[in-house]
Amino acid sequence: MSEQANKDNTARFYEEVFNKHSIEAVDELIHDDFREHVVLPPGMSDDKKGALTLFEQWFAAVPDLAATIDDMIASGDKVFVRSTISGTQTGEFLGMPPTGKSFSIGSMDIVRIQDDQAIEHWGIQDTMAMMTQLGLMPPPAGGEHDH
Amino acid sequence: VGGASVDIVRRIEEAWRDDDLDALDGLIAEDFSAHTPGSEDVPGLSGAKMAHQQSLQAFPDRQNHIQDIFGEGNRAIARVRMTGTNTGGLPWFGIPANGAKVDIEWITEFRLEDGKVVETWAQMDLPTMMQQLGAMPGPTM
Repeated sequence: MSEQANKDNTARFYEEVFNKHSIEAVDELIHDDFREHVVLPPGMSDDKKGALTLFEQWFAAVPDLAATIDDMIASGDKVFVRSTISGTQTGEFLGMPPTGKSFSIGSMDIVRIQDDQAIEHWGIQDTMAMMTQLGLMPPPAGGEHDH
Repeated sequence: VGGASVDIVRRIEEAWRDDDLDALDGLIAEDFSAHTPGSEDVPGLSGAKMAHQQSLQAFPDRQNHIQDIFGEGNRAIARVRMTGTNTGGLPWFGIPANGAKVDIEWITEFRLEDGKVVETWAQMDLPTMMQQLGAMPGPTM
Protein backbone atom coordinates (compact mmCIF):
# COMPACT_ATOMS: atom_id res chain seq x y z
CA MET A 1 0.00 0.00 0.00
CA SER A 2 1.21 3.47 -0.75
CA GLU A 3 2.19 5.92 1.93
CA GLN A 4 -0.65 8.21 0.86
CA ALA A 5 -3.18 5.37 1.20
CA ASN A 6 -1.83 4.66 4.68
CA LYS A 7 -2.24 8.32 5.60
CA ASP A 8 -5.79 8.37 4.20
CA ASN A 9 -6.71 5.29 6.22
CA THR A 10 -5.24 6.79 9.37
CA ALA A 11 -7.05 10.10 8.84
CA ARG A 12 -10.26 8.15 8.37
CA PHE A 13 -9.68 6.39 11.69
CA TYR A 14 -9.43 9.75 13.48
CA GLU A 15 -12.57 11.08 11.78
CA GLU A 16 -14.74 7.98 12.15
CA VAL A 17 -13.52 6.81 15.55
CA PHE A 18 -12.40 9.86 17.56
CA ASN A 19 -14.87 12.32 16.07
CA LYS A 20 -17.88 10.19 15.09
CA HIS A 21 -17.44 7.53 17.79
CA SER A 22 -18.07 4.66 15.39
CA ILE A 23 -17.19 1.36 17.05
CA GLU A 24 -17.87 -0.27 13.65
CA ALA A 25 -14.99 1.80 12.24
CA VAL A 26 -12.68 0.49 14.99
CA ASP A 27 -13.65 -3.01 13.94
CA GLU A 28 -13.15 -2.23 10.25
CA LEU A 29 -9.87 -0.29 10.48
CA ILE A 30 -8.05 -2.45 13.03
CA HIS A 31 -6.48 -5.71 11.87
CA ASP A 32 -7.53 -9.01 13.46
CA ASP A 33 -3.87 -9.59 14.41
CA PHE A 34 -3.57 -6.11 15.98
CA ARG A 35 -0.93 -5.66 18.70
CA GLU A 36 -1.03 -2.76 21.18
CA HIS A 37 2.34 -1.64 22.55
CA VAL A 38 1.00 1.06 24.87
CA VAL A 39 1.33 0.09 28.55
CA LEU A 40 -2.24 -0.84 29.47
CA PRO A 41 -4.04 -0.90 32.79
CA PRO A 42 -4.42 -4.33 34.42
CA GLY A 43 -7.18 -6.40 32.84
CA MET A 44 -6.93 -4.73 29.42
CA SER A 45 -5.82 -7.02 26.60
CA ASP A 46 -3.29 -5.81 24.03
CA ASP A 47 -5.24 -7.14 21.04
CA LYS A 48 -8.13 -6.00 18.85
CA LYS A 49 -10.68 -6.99 21.50
CA GLY A 50 -8.91 -4.74 23.98
CA ALA A 51 -8.92 -1.85 21.50
CA LEU A 52 -12.68 -2.23 20.97
CA THR A 53 -13.25 -2.26 24.74
CA LEU A 54 -11.02 0.78 25.28
CA PHE A 55 -12.85 2.89 22.66
CA GLU A 56 -16.26 1.81 24.02
CA GLN A 57 -15.12 3.06 27.44
CA TRP A 58 -13.79 6.33 25.94
CA PHE A 59 -17.09 7.01 24.12
CA ALA A 60 -19.13 6.29 27.28
CA ALA A 61 -16.95 8.37 29.62
CA VAL A 62 -16.28 11.29 27.25
CA PRO A 63 -19.41 11.81 25.10
CA ASP A 64 -17.91 14.83 23.29
CA LEU A 65 -14.54 13.16 22.64
CA ALA A 66 -12.81 14.73 19.61
CA ALA A 67 -9.37 14.73 18.01
CA THR A 68 -7.58 17.10 15.65
CA ILE A 69 -4.67 15.87 13.55
CA ASP A 70 -1.84 18.41 13.88
CA ASP A 71 0.69 16.58 11.69
CA MET A 72 1.22 13.26 9.91
CA ILE A 73 4.37 11.57 8.63
CA ALA A 74 4.25 8.41 6.53
CA SER A 75 7.18 6.18 5.63
CA GLY A 76 6.99 2.61 4.40
CA ASP A 77 4.21 0.84 6.27
CA LYS A 78 4.22 3.28 9.21
CA VAL A 79 2.29 6.46 9.91
CA PHE A 80 3.05 8.93 12.69
CA VAL A 81 0.30 11.22 13.95
CA ARG A 82 0.61 14.22 16.26
CA SER A 83 -2.85 15.12 17.49
CA THR A 84 -4.81 17.06 20.08
CA ILE A 85 -7.46 15.06 21.93
CA SER A 86 -10.18 16.88 23.85
CA GLY A 87 -13.47 16.28 25.60
CA THR A 88 -15.44 16.38 28.82
CA GLN A 89 -15.16 13.46 31.19
CA THR A 90 -18.71 12.86 32.44
CA GLY A 91 -18.35 9.15 33.19
CA GLU A 92 -15.96 6.92 35.11
CA PHE A 93 -12.88 6.12 33.01
CA LEU A 94 -10.17 3.59 33.86
CA GLY A 95 -10.84 3.98 37.55
CA MET A 96 -11.02 7.78 37.44
CA PRO A 97 -14.28 9.08 38.94
CA PRO A 98 -16.51 11.27 36.75
CA THR A 99 -15.27 14.85 37.06
CA GLY A 100 -17.49 16.77 34.62
CA LYS A 101 -14.33 18.66 33.63
CA SER A 102 -12.85 19.20 30.19
CA PHE A 103 -9.39 18.36 28.92
CA SER A 104 -7.30 19.08 25.83
CA ILE A 105 -4.03 17.21 25.54
CA GLY A 106 -1.33 16.30 23.04
CA SER A 107 -0.89 12.79 21.71
CA MET A 108 1.82 11.20 19.60
CA ASP A 109 1.06 7.91 17.93
CA ILE A 110 2.69 5.50 15.48
CA VAL A 111 0.71 2.85 13.63
CA ARG A 112 1.93 0.14 11.32
CA ILE A 113 -0.51 -0.56 8.51
CA GLN A 114 -1.12 -3.86 6.80
CA ASP A 115 -3.98 -4.60 4.37
CA ASP A 116 -5.34 -1.05 4.91
CA GLN A 117 -5.71 -1.78 8.63
CA ALA A 118 -3.73 -0.86 11.74
CA ILE A 119 -1.80 -3.93 12.87
CA GLU A 120 0.51 -2.35 15.49
CA HIS A 121 0.26 0.78 17.63
CA TRP A 122 2.68 2.72 19.80
CA GLY A 123 1.61 5.94 21.45
CA ILE A 124 2.09 8.40 24.29
CA GLN A 125 -0.46 10.91 25.53
CA ASP A 126 0.11 13.80 27.89
CA THR A 127 -1.68 11.92 30.67
CA MET A 128 -0.20 14.14 33.37
CA ALA A 129 -1.82 17.20 31.75
CA MET A 130 -5.11 15.32 31.49
CA MET A 131 -5.08 14.37 35.18
CA THR A 132 -4.19 17.96 36.10
CA GLN A 133 -6.94 19.45 33.91
CA LEU A 134 -9.48 16.99 35.36
CA GLY A 135 -8.41 18.08 38.84
CA LEU A 136 -7.22 14.58 39.76
CA MET A 137 -3.63 15.67 40.31
CA PRO A 138 -1.97 18.88 41.48
CA PRO A 139 -0.14 20.89 38.78
CA PRO A 140 3.45 19.70 38.35
CA ALA A 141 6.18 21.65 40.08
CA GLY A 142 8.06 21.60 36.77
CA GLY A 143 11.47 20.25 36.01
CA GLU A 144 12.45 17.00 34.40
CA HIS A 145 11.94 16.47 30.74
CA ASP A 146 14.03 15.18 27.94
CA HIS A 147 15.04 17.04 24.82
CA VAL B 1 11.44 10.52 1.33
CA GLY B 2 12.88 12.27 4.35
CA GLY B 3 16.25 10.55 4.00
CA ALA B 4 18.34 13.60 4.93
CA SER B 5 16.08 14.42 7.89
CA VAL B 6 16.21 10.82 9.07
CA ASP B 7 20.02 10.79 8.90
CA ILE B 8 20.30 13.96 11.00
CA VAL B 9 17.78 12.75 13.57
CA ARG B 10 19.63 9.43 13.83
CA ARG B 11 22.89 11.32 14.53
CA ILE B 12 21.07 13.41 17.16
CA GLU B 13 19.60 10.39 18.94
CA GLU B 14 22.97 8.62 18.83
CA ALA B 15 24.60 11.70 20.35
CA TRP B 16 22.06 11.78 23.23
CA ARG B 17 22.48 8.02 23.68
CA ASP B 18 26.29 8.24 23.78
CA ASP B 19 26.32 11.44 25.91
CA ASP B 20 28.25 13.14 23.10
CA LEU B 21 26.59 16.50 23.68
CA ASP B 22 29.12 18.53 21.65
CA ALA B 23 28.00 16.62 18.54
CA LEU B 24 24.57 18.22 18.90
CA ASP B 25 25.80 21.76 18.22
CA GLY B 26 25.87 21.36 14.45
CA LEU B 27 22.61 19.44 14.33
CA ILE B 28 20.19 21.43 16.51
CA ALA B 29 19.71 25.20 16.34
CA GLU B 30 20.62 26.80 19.69
CA ASP B 31 17.27 28.62 19.82
CA PHE B 32 15.18 25.66 18.63
CA SER B 33 11.62 25.62 19.82
CA ALA B 34 10.74 22.60 22.01
CA HIS B 35 7.11 21.73 22.59
CA THR B 36 7.78 19.34 25.43
CA PRO B 37 5.67 19.43 28.58
CA GLY B 38 7.96 20.94 31.24
CA SER B 39 10.56 22.44 28.89
CA GLU B 40 9.28 26.02 29.09
CA ASP B 41 11.61 26.83 32.00
CA VAL B 42 14.79 25.70 30.28
CA PRO B 43 14.53 26.63 26.60
CA GLY B 44 16.91 26.03 23.73
CA LEU B 45 19.66 23.53 23.15
CA SER B 46 21.44 24.51 26.38
CA GLY B 47 18.22 23.81 28.27
CA ALA B 48 17.87 20.40 26.62
CA LYS B 49 21.48 19.58 27.51
CA MET B 50 20.82 20.62 31.11
CA ALA B 51 17.79 18.32 31.27
CA HIS B 52 19.92 15.51 29.88
CA GLN B 53 22.54 16.06 32.60
CA GLN B 54 19.81 16.08 35.27
CA SER B 55 18.53 12.79 33.94
CA LEU B 56 22.06 11.35 33.99
CA GLN B 57 22.44 12.40 37.64
CA ALA B 58 19.19 10.62 38.50
CA PHE B 59 19.99 7.52 36.43
CA PRO B 60 23.81 7.23 36.12
CA ASP B 61 23.46 3.80 34.45
CA ARG B 62 20.93 5.18 32.00
CA GLN B 63 20.82 3.58 28.56
CA ASN B 64 18.90 4.87 25.55
CA HIS B 65 17.71 2.41 22.95
CA ILE B 66 16.64 3.87 19.59
CA GLN B 67 13.57 1.81 18.74
CA ASP B 68 12.32 3.47 15.56
CA ILE B 69 13.22 6.40 13.29
CA PHE B 70 11.47 7.48 10.11
CA GLY B 71 10.63 10.68 8.29
CA GLU B 72 9.06 12.49 5.38
CA GLY B 73 10.30 15.71 3.82
CA ASN B 74 11.64 18.11 6.47
CA ARG B 75 10.21 16.15 9.43
CA ALA B 76 11.25 12.95 11.17
CA ILE B 77 10.31 11.10 14.33
CA ALA B 78 12.17 8.94 16.82
CA ARG B 79 10.82 6.49 19.39
CA VAL B 80 13.35 5.95 22.15
CA ARG B 81 13.33 3.58 25.12
CA MET B 82 15.25 4.49 28.27
CA THR B 83 16.27 2.07 30.99
CA GLY B 84 18.02 3.05 34.19
CA THR B 85 18.19 2.86 37.97
CA ASN B 86 17.33 5.78 40.26
CA THR B 87 20.52 5.92 42.29
CA GLY B 88 20.81 9.72 42.10
CA GLY B 89 17.32 10.95 42.94
CA LEU B 90 14.95 13.34 41.17
CA PRO B 91 14.77 16.28 43.59
CA TRP B 92 12.72 18.36 41.11
CA PHE B 93 9.97 15.72 41.53
CA GLY B 94 10.62 15.30 45.27
CA ILE B 95 11.84 11.74 44.69
CA PRO B 96 14.92 10.56 46.60
CA ALA B 97 17.39 7.98 45.28
CA ASN B 98 15.68 4.63 45.86
CA GLY B 99 17.23 2.07 43.50
CA ALA B 100 14.00 1.83 41.49
CA LYS B 101 14.38 0.66 37.91
CA VAL B 102 12.69 2.57 35.13
CA ASP B 103 11.93 1.36 31.63
CA ILE B 104 9.98 3.87 29.58
CA GLU B 105 9.60 5.28 26.10
CA TRP B 106 9.16 8.67 24.50
CA ILE B 107 8.40 9.87 20.99
CA THR B 108 9.88 13.05 19.50
CA GLU B 109 9.00 14.76 16.25
CA PHE B 110 11.69 16.98 14.68
CA ARG B 111 11.27 19.73 12.08
CA LEU B 112 14.38 20.71 10.16
CA GLU B 113 15.45 23.78 8.23
CA ASP B 114 18.73 23.94 6.27
CA GLY B 115 19.96 20.69 7.78
CA LYS B 116 19.31 21.66 11.40
CA VAL B 117 16.51 20.91 13.82
CA VAL B 118 14.55 24.09 14.55
CA GLU B 119 11.44 22.68 16.27
CA THR B 120 10.52 19.58 18.26
CA TRP B 121 7.43 18.06 19.83
CA ALA B 122 7.75 15.27 22.39
CA GLN B 123 5.69 13.11 24.69
CA MET B 124 7.23 10.97 27.39
CA ASP B 125 5.52 8.19 29.33
CA LEU B 126 5.79 10.06 32.63
CA PRO B 127 2.95 8.20 34.43
CA THR B 128 4.74 4.88 33.91
CA MET B 129 8.02 6.41 35.09
CA MET B 130 6.39 7.86 38.22
CA GLN B 131 4.82 4.48 39.00
CA GLN B 132 8.13 2.69 38.50
CA LEU B 133 9.77 5.25 40.80
CA GLY B 134 7.13 4.55 43.43
CA ALA B 135 5.94 8.16 43.31
CA MET B 136 2.45 7.47 41.98
CA PRO B 137 -0.08 4.80 42.89
CA GLY B 138 -0.84 1.87 40.54
CA PRO B 139 -1.73 2.20 36.87
CA THR B 140 -4.61 4.57 36.26
CA MET B 141 -4.35 5.01 32.51
